Amino acid sequence: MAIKISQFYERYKGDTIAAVMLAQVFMSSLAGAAAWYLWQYAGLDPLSAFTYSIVALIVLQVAVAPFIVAFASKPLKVLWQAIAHVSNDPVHTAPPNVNSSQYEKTGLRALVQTVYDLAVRPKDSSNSSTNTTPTELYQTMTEDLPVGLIALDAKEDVIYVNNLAPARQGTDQKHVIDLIFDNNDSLGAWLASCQDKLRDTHVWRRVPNKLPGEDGRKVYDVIGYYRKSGNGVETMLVTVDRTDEYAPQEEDMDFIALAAHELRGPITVIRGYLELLGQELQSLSPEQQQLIDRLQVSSERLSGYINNILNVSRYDRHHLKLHLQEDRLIDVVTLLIPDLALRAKTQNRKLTLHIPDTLPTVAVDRSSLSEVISNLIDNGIKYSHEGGEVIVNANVKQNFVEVTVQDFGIGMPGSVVGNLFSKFYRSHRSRQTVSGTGLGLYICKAIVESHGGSIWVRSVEGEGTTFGFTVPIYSTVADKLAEGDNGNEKIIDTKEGWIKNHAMFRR
Amino acid sequence: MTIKTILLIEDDLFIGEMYSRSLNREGYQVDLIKDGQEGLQAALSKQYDLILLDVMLPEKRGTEILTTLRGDEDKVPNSRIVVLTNFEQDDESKMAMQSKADGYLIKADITPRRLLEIIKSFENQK
Repeated sequence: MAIKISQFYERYKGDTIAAVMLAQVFMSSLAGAAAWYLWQYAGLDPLSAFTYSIVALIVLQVAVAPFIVAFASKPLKVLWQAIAHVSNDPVHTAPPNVNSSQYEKTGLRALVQTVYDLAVRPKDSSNSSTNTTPTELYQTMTEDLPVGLIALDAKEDVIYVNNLAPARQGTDQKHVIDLIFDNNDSLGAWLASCQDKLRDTHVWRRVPNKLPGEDGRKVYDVIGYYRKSGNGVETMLVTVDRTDEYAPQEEDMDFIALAAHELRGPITVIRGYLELLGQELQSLSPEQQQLIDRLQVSSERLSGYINNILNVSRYDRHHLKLHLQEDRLIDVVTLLIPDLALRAKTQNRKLTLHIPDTLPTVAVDRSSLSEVISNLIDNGIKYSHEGGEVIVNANVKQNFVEVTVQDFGIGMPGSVVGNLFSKFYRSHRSRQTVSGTGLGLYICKAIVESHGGSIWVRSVEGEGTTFGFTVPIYSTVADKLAEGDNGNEKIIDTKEGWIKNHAMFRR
Repeated sequence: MTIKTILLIEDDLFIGEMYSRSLNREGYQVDLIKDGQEGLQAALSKQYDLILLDVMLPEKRGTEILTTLRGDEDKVPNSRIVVLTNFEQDDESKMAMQSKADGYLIKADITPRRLLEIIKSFENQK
């Protein structure tokens, strides 16, 4: 009758206790019998007889002890032999003999057999009795990552979001990504551009999840990884919460926006009513007309300075977002001609434009490039002499269109030229006679460089100054400019804002 | 398309009268409304070819009005809506308007004559 492994110990304990008790009783009885014999038949006194029997007991215990231990530890010896055998111990390699029926009855044979079975079982790495499988480990890691993780499949559906990802459950159980991308640099546009690539990476900064003023607004930096695959994960987005870093800058922007708004109100009125006056007052003498013209020029300048300040503030906080589109330089400048011509006229300067309409198209943000051109021409006018000429040229230079604004005025010494594009820089000479914020050239440089171009100045004291800047030719950067999400719509940038071209917009 | 009727929602008296004066002289019919709530009611009850919408209005912001007029459904499909503002909005809000408005202009950067030019360009579009 084979005994199962689990019953082995109880039985063994029982057997061993019984055996030891039996031995104890036997030996004590023997010692007691010897004492009785010595006292009754050998004539010894009880104390001596007792003493002799104790001595006899001690001798018996010592003699019997090894046999008891051998008996009790028999199973241990057998197991030891079995384990030594299967682990190829160099000294004891002979397996124990467990074939007798006695071993079968006590269950020792089953124990030994189990040892043999364990030893031959092949190493199984996916043992289901371990606590964490690799899958569970990865899942724990991604759930608790300190960044947001969003995975998209080849159909651009969201297949995974972790805890910190800015996403929510949509109405049809699908996940919706809660990120507001810029229309000119959207997630959809980037994914579209990845269609003919194997791999790509893209970084977006300052991507909010809600509009300003809404509760729970956070601002992220987002990194996208694309890797073409047949199925499974094709795109991964990692979102890093930068709300704390960006928050103070947003508050500063609010202050500047509010200040600009306050200032712009009266400017709107001044410019508008001046124009109405100019139109409605029919019988103005040329001198009176000049009064109105000067007022108009100054109020336009004021408006321009406010835009300068706003752009500088945005640029300094890396907020300056340009909407680069294909455009013709001649079209950009044409919009500026009325204002600039009036400025030149009121200050008695001659403005000449040499812009060929055969120039290739350029990639520009119309509104901010207008600011650059206005600022540079304004500078040319300011620093020219009475009756002086300001000449604007444009031509192709490698992959760029270069525009130069040349005046023949007072010029600048070399020491001034080096600092020209710094903020607030005014040389001591100009401070008294010429007005301005000192920000104009700084923002020109910022805008031109944000276009991917460069700006330079050459000046000879007493002879005049030439400013030049370059903007990229559209065809050289067309592929880098992602298609906007506009699709069918065409947004026409004017320098004061934008309007939709409904001829191309199908509702 | 021809533009005949214009709704101008503008709370600044000087600015409102400046534009309506100029637009009237050009032959457009202009309704000048200083209150956002009233302006919204007017837009919903009367048919206007063009709605000029200020943003910083008391009681009801222009952004709210735009969302009401062109949120889930377009309640004024036959009107053009142009946002006229002096408030330098953050980029996200500006982008949000791009989908709903037909134009966006900074008042301090234009004059009445320039506004007329832009309106004419709308008329020339279709």
